[in-house]
Amino acid sequence: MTTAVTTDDLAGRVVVVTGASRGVGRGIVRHLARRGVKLAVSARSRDGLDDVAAELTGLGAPHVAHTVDAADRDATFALVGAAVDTFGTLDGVVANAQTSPDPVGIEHITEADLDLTMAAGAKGTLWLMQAAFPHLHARGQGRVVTLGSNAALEGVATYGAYSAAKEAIRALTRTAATEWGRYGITVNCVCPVSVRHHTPGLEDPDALARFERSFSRQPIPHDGDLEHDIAPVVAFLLSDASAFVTGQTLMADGGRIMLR
Amino acid sequence: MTVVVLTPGDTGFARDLRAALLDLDVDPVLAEPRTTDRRELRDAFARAKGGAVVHVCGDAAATVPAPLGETGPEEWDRRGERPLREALATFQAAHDHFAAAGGGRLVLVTSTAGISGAASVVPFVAAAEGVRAMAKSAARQWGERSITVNAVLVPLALLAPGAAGVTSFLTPPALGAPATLHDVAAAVRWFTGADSTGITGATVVADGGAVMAP
Amino acid sequence: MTGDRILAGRGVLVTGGAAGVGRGIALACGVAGAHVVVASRGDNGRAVVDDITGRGGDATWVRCDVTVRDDVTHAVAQAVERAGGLHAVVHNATSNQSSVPHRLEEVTHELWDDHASVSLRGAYHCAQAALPALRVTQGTMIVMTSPAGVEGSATLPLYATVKGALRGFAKGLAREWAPSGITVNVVSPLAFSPAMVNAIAEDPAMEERLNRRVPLGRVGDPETDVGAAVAFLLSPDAGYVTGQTIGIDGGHFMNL
Repeated sequence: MTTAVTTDDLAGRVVVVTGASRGVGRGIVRHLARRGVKLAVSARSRDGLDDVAAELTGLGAPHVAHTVDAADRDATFALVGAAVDTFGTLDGVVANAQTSPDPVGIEHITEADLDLTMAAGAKGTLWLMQAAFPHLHARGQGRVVTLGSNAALEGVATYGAYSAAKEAIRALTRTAATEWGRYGITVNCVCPVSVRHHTPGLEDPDALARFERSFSRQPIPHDGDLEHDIAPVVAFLLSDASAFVTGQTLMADGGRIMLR
Repeated sequence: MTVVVLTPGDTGFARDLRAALLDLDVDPVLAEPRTTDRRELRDAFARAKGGAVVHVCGDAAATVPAPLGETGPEEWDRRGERPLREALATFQAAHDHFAAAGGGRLVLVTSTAGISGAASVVPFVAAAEGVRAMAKSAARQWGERSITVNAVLVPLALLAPGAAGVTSFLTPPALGAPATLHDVAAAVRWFTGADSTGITGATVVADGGAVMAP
Repeated sequence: MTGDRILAGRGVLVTGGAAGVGRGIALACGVAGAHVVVASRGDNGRAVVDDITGRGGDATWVRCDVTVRDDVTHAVAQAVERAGGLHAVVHNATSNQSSVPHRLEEVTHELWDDHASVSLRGAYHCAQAALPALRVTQGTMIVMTSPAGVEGSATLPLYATVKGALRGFAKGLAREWAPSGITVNVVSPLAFSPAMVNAIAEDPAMEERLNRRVPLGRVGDPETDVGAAVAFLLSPDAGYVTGQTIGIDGGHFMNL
């Protein structure tokens, strides 16, 4: 009888992570690197990319790094191609890249705002799925992880363009899960709450106190820690333990939303 | 004019809902006394010639705030299981009455606390979600008998003012003020009227836009 | 955090652990390094303990009827004593009548009480009994639901009712226990259970129909498919996940 949970099965796996230079993406990449994953990472800016690549080198983590605008289909395919060329295979992808305009009310959202979020988020996710598909299909197994947002689920004011992209991503997640299950490919979405990294001004004690209070209403009343709270959930969805989990949205949000 | 029977009829909420429905040209009747006897309920519905039955799940007794660890078996039963038994008896009685009448409208009113969860009222939250799943199941089984079963969810504060604090974590309602009895009555009435005969198994949240659930 | 023994040193109590999904979860937790307390009404739970220990794991059997409060208190005490602490409770037990089709207008209150006592009162007993121990370990509790609990059932209305109620129970408890550092979640599995095996034996085409509707093309193995994922949810890596309903079902139900 096979064992249910094997030695850390992520070690040696090949995973592509987009938007890897900052925030949630950076946290995911760091966590996966420590677990022995071979990584192909992308970021829009050269500086950001160099920074994360240096960290991966410091961790001794095999990696390739490309500057990629997530909306760029060719560049996305090239990134995945590089992963396969370098490491010989592909196990999974994490479509984390997302851009967002300044928050404005629905009546002020411009076409450019919506194009921005949909291009990086919805299209970026779709292109990464498409680039990964032939490789995962050929192996008869694979993992796709997408990133959603509680702001979209709750309809948080002023995030309309961003939320539209995030819900589009969840729809693509379910559709891909339905279509690709027959090939042994699972497709799931994580909605993380971890916002400290893009909240400015927290050196100010008052601002920090306000920031921390803002979590007081959620059951686990603190911001998600990337290493302990968020990345492990993404890692689960890349691992053998989640082989029968697909089409799901996992909230790594301290119970902030219990709609599901 | 549809005769709407409200059960149980012995709460402040039922009386207030009755008054609000009267304002909307509905003919509301309170079913009293509270009972889990199926035949008594069926007879009450028949006597009233009810075209619709509105069952309210949740009252002060079911929502006494208390940690689960301090909730004894009698309290667990009163707050968690008895509401489900009452709902079952009401649903069954409504079925009996409607089946004889060739159809009918069953509306469940309970709290959004079932969807959002809430501390200190765990037994009730379980009952609220359980009765909603019961309603959906009834909708599936009884649709062929022209019986629709739908749910209207309201803020806990309307059902049980004393327990309002346990849902203070919810985001404020988008409309700036919580739903009133009038709003709830309007939703209930809609589910008893001609415009919704094709709707069954649905849930409408009437809370001013605090909980926006699927 | 990583590696195969993600539950090493942890005490896990599984009700209804003798067969089906409960057994699968117990086995997977054993492989993950937990000391598993297999709680079942009948002696068949002993065989699960033998399976776990036979593979080098740690497990204890305890006779437990979840409708009897004292049985549950005793099971928790066994977990604390044998495992050195209770880190997780998986309340999986359901009524024997769970998969017997019924009409809501025909059910007796006895049938209702049968469903309610095992699923709901059993959950209440587990939660109450386990709370002190879970506070010490900042542990977790999982209850089981089903698509029936979310969208109702045309054939099993009472099962749907208790499965829906368990979701509410878990969400309320997740909020209530969060200040104590305890998480509570709900799992919706699709796996071979004795009831499903029997149903397929009577209607072999059912398995094929089910396989066609499941994106991953199969009904799950209770241990390697469901148990493995539950083991993750019981581990510290899932500590920021609470109040959630998670499907471990091959994509069968994505309506959330």
